Amino acid sequence: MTEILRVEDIHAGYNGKQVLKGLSFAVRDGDVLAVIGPNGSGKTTLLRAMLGMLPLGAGKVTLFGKERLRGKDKEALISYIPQRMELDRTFPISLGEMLGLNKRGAEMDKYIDMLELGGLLSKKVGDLSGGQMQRALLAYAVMKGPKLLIMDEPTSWIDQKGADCILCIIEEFKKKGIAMIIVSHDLSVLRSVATHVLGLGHEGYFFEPADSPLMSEKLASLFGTLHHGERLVCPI
Amino acid sequence: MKTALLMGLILGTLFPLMGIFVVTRGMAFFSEFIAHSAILGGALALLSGVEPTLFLLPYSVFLGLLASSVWGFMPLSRDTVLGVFYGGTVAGGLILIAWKGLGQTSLMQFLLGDILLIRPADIWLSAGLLTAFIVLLRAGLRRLIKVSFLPEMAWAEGINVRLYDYALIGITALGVALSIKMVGVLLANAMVVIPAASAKILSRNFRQFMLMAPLIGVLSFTGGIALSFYLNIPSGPTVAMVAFAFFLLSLMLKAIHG
Repeated sequence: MTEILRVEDIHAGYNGKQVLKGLSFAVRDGDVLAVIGPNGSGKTTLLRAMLGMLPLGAGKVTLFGKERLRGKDKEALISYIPQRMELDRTFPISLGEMLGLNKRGAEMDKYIDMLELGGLLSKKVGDLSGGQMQRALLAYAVMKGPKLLIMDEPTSWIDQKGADCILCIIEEFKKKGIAMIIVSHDLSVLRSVATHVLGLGHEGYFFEPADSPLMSEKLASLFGTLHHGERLVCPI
Repeated sequence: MKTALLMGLILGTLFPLMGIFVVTRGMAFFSEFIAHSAILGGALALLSGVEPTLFLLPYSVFLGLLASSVWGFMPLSRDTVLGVFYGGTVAGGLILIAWKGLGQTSLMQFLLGDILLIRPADIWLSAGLLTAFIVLLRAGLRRLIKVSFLPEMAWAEGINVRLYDYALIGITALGVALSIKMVGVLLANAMVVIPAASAKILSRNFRQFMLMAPLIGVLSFTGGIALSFYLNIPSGPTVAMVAFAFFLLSLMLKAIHG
């Protein structure tokens, strides 16, 4: 299995405050890494540091064997779906135009149907809900065909039906051997699709296979509270 | 008149296309700053005896990139930096004009525009800039859309967002500098913003937007130039007023048809 990402002893933060301290882990093709942790533990900071959007205080990030992956190589290999998008909702651009989904191949129609986007492609982006936009970005990622897909809270804006649909697509990606990193508060992501779990806490972190017998104990030490249903009840 | 109309055709196409991305990237104040900073640039050009457009082109690009470097690396917002540079350059220009007695007529032409100042070289330079911008749009429209609407995604996926911003800064600075003779310092930014805003109201999708904005721009420029010529009034305010009239028309059409 090819190593897609290696994070070695990274330190990163903002305004002199270290949020990530000595973090190390690796992702191989076909892995689905669920990144979980309480608010402020550094989940989004980690994504930004991995993608070169935040300078590292120390340590090294290697993507596809390169410390500085950039330009067309990076664009072809990586797709990133952020948690929030600050869109100009008054802009006259349709969803299909913005993401290039109007010029899709026939194989994309299956995903357009799965994500219930067919009737939305001609709609103005400003008329879409956060959840509809999230599903559209996932379709765009599918069309692009990356080797690494990074998603920050992909189910947070979506109802249960939509969340199930996204998990189905993640399963399909998994079968195709696409590596994924998913930041999520939603334990159904962890339970149903993750192959590994990276738990970030304020005092430390853990990196374990998803089926590790230590998982419940690790989660409890991270959050220090009970789990109710599929969603964590966080102390913060 | 023919020279001015040809210039109007070029700028009427270029400015709204620029305006689409200038407004999306939140750079409307930037183009206002570049236009007004030409008061200092024009004064320096007159003092040094260099043809104003030839002086303003590198001056505007330099100033634009300098300001963007300051807001990129200092703990100041973009608007704050632009506000500071705006004040400094306008003040510097007005001081030079008063101190060196650079002439009321020259100042008024500079502030309001005068189609009689346009030379064939201005047309060639403007046509060159429009061609370069169209080539950039054709080659990189998908990326430009991503940079404009989904900058975090673009950055994460390896697109050099800063480079696209610098390119937009450079093209905007050059475009505004080239337009000063026609529309003047005071209203150059109006022509970046107003035709694009009118088209935005009426467009249902991006394709319509890209077609309608330059159409409104060309009609505004050519209509305004013709009116200013026959009424013998400054070209800048006339062009801007015709553009504003199109904006009001857009509002009415939108209100009637929804």
